[in-house]
Amino acid sequence: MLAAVAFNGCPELMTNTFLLISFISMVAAAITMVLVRIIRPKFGYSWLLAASGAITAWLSLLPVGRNLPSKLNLIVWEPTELFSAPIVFMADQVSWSYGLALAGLVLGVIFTDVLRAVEADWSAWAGSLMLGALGLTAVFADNPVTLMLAWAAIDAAELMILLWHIPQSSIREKVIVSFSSRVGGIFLLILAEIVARTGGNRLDFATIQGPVGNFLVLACALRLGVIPLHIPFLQEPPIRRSLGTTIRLVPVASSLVLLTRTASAATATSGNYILLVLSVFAALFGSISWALAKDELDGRPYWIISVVSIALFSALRGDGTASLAWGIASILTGGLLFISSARHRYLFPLTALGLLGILPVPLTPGWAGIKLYAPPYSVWLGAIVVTQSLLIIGYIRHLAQPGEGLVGVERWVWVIYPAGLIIILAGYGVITWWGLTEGVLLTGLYLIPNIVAGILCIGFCGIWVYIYRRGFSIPDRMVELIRKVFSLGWLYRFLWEVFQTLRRLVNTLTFVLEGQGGILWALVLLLLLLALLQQG
Amino acid sequence: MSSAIIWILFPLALSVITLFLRKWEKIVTIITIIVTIGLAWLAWQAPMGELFRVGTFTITLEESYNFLGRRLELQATDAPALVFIYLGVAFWLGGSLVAKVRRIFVSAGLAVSALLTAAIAVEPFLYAALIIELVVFICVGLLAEPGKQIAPGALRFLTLQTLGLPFILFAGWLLAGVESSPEDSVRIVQASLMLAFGFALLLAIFPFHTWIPMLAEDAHPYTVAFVLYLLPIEIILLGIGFLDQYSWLRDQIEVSRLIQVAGVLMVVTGGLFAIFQNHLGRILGFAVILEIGVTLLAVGAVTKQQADFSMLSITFTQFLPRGLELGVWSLSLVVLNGYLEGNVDGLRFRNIQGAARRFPIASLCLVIAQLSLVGFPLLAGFPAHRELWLGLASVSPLIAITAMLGYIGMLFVTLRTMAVLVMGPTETGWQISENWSQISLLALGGLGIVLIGIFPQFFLPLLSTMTELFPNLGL
Repeated sequence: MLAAVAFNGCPELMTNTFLLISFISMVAAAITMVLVRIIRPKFGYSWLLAASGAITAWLSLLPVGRNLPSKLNLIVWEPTELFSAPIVFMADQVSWSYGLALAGLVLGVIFTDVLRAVEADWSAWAGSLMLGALGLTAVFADNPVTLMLAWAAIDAAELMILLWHIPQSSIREKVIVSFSSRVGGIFLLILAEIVARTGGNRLDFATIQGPVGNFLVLACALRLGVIPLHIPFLQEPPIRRSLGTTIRLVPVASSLVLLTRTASAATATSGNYILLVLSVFAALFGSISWALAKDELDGRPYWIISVVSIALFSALRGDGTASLAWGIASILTGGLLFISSARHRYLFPLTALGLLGILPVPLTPGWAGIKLYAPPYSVWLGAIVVTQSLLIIGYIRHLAQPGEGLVGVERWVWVIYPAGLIIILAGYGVITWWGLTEGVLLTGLYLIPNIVAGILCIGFCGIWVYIYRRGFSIPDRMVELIRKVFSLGWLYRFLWEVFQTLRRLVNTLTFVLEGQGGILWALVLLLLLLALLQQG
Repeated sequence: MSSAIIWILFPLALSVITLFLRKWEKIVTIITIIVTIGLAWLAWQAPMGELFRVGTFTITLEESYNFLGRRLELQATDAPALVFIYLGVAFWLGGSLVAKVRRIFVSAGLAVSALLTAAIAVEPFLYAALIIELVVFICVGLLAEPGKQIAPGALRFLTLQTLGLPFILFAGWLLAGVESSPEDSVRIVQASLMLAFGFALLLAIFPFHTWIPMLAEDAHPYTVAFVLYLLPIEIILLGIGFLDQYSWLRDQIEVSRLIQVAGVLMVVTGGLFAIFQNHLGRILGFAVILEIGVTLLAVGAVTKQQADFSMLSITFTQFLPRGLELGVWSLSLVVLNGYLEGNVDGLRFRNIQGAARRFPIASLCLVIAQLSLVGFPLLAGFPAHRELWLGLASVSPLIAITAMLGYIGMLFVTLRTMAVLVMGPTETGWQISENWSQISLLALGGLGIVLIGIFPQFFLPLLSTMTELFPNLGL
């Protein structure tokens, strides 16, 4: 109300101001923390600084959801006749939902870190805030250039943080491989722009068309590690829950936002069908591995792969709402469990509420997710039901495992720590009612199929519980075999052999051309080329 | 006073003087940097051909000056080029303070800048080819190590550049004939072939590209980068000058196709050959080949359709990021090379494994420069590269995709470089082994690349106006 009065009835100005505040507060807090540590290394209020930045960002994003859509021009590259792309933010239902989810996650991480004093420090909070701010830039990006810049910044920041913290060369190699696939996604986005331009169009997220949409989906899939399926590295960085959670989930959110937007352009092409099948395999593989993982942190990469594969599957079927619901679930439902290091009977219900993001219960975000079970029906939909049930079972299993206790902690920790979990749940609630409004209601054309799918999902959960209780489990060798097949190591080894063969060929050509008779050989080659061109 | 005296003869004379004073390397370098920045500032501020006041003095900068029977003309439209040349040389001289180059670098740099200005100014413009040959001689002198046998790369560089010169001159002579009798198709074909062959040799077009990687492997990285930056730009300007001067040349679709075929060959050679390289210097060489290729593709688009004149502006805006990228890249190589002193294998991947742990700043800057060169977002190369790719897509999707493939090849080798730098046999902790001067210059360069990438509007517009050098192309 106060804000509305202050902005004199200009909702767009208010939205844009809050949007900027959310971004600036995170960046400012992170930079201030770094500067303060340089000037006063023993500064004792870093957490307070981090928490204020995160709270401001989260609170600023709440009113943004009431005045959607809204655009904010940030920078114009000049001369405009040469550089066609301004840097623009756009807040709509999709971007705002992801934005609030990200801000909530960062705030939740910082709040719950009060229990992990040994693991988390000021650098982890500064890193989380910076990554959160960059994530906001990506989710609110209105055009490809803004998104590319944000993606690049996120990738660079993630790379630096990981390389800084990881001393083992073998894991560093995997960090570079992961970075490479992300960069590949950026270049696919540029390729999508080129494809759009060949048709005389300019790529615009509001009007994505057929073939361009495929490139965008592929770009997202590559960045998310779904296609080709790749689990970046299982050994997590040393700061596992705190910064580790942000590092894992911010890049995911930044790609999911584009995926949800492409849902509108989904067309039934053969290329799409292949992507659809691959996403189902990735989802199944991820969910099995998630359910069998040692704990939630070991299973985290599989959770991400599985849930974002379902989001991808939904987008490929043209269901934007379901894609958004699964995307948000990957961040908030997953995030809630990953930051819950303490296990206590009073805290259990809070963490368990995160299940509502994936459970098929009406009026919850999970219900928006099951909207994807609509015609046309195929065997792949059945596989997704199984995947969903495995995700639920895995969540419950990891939640039920013993963790850190809360005995002996100071009283204020008892207030702040649960507040971190409540903030995530509150944010989830707001997103559900403002961002997923249509999806959560018990209405729609395909209500019966949705209910049937929901029942099937619960039924499968029952079957898994029964099997588990009877002591059945998948043999380790089988799990290892599945991992080997899906990790695509065999494909990379084959490609490496091809690379070596080509290298020998190029080396021979280089040896000839750079040798003593190189100029003569060059002339011969030129004549050959000219003859070839003349024939062409 | 004539503008040619200020921007050509004065720096030329100064280069001779500094040659004798090279014993006091640092002071001479700093003074020369100040002078070149002053010349750039003057080119930006002074109205050529008009009166202007300096205190109580009133000076007219005359546009034309006769020298050895030829005219040297510098007009107001040349100002952006002059600013670019002298600021560029100042930047390279600044880097030479820590790059441990030969002492004659300052004199040679100044002479090269004066000669490049002369190449832009000389009329008839055909004589620019002769001036470029002079630049080549200076560069060879700069690349040769005193007391050592000249490296095969430098020798081949000299041979191919000198071979190209008579073709250009002969083509010029034939073109004068074509102007007077445009219906003489035989002469047109002869002139076009001469020109094509001449530029193929000068611009190191496949299969005459070999001197670039050879040179980049043998010679001092910083000197090589300096040569590989300025020389191709000057030759491309000469080539565009031909298109500007002769309307029949730019109207022929075959010429446009030929330039584009050459561009595609260069892009493919640069990008795909780079994938298989294990030497950081050679990779730099192939990156230059790739960039020459893309510039050719853009120039080809200009001749085919006048509507794509903006492609030329974009090409010119690339010159600043490219200079920064090559400068930072080569300076990083110099730092890493110092670490490898005594190792005959030089900058091969197997020698620099894990070097990032001891030289984090140099390694980071090397990767930033490489990524910028492939058009990675956030970095200086991105705005212009993206517009170029989109512009090429409008002209021909196939060409745009080919260009992208070349860059993806270069991206692949960049990622390999990154992996090699951070993965070492020993898992030591991070330590900074660079000295302060290296850190400050590298950091400045790296920061410049990032700033231009985010705020190109503050840095690139001036270069886009270099199209005014070619008034006929826009018509």
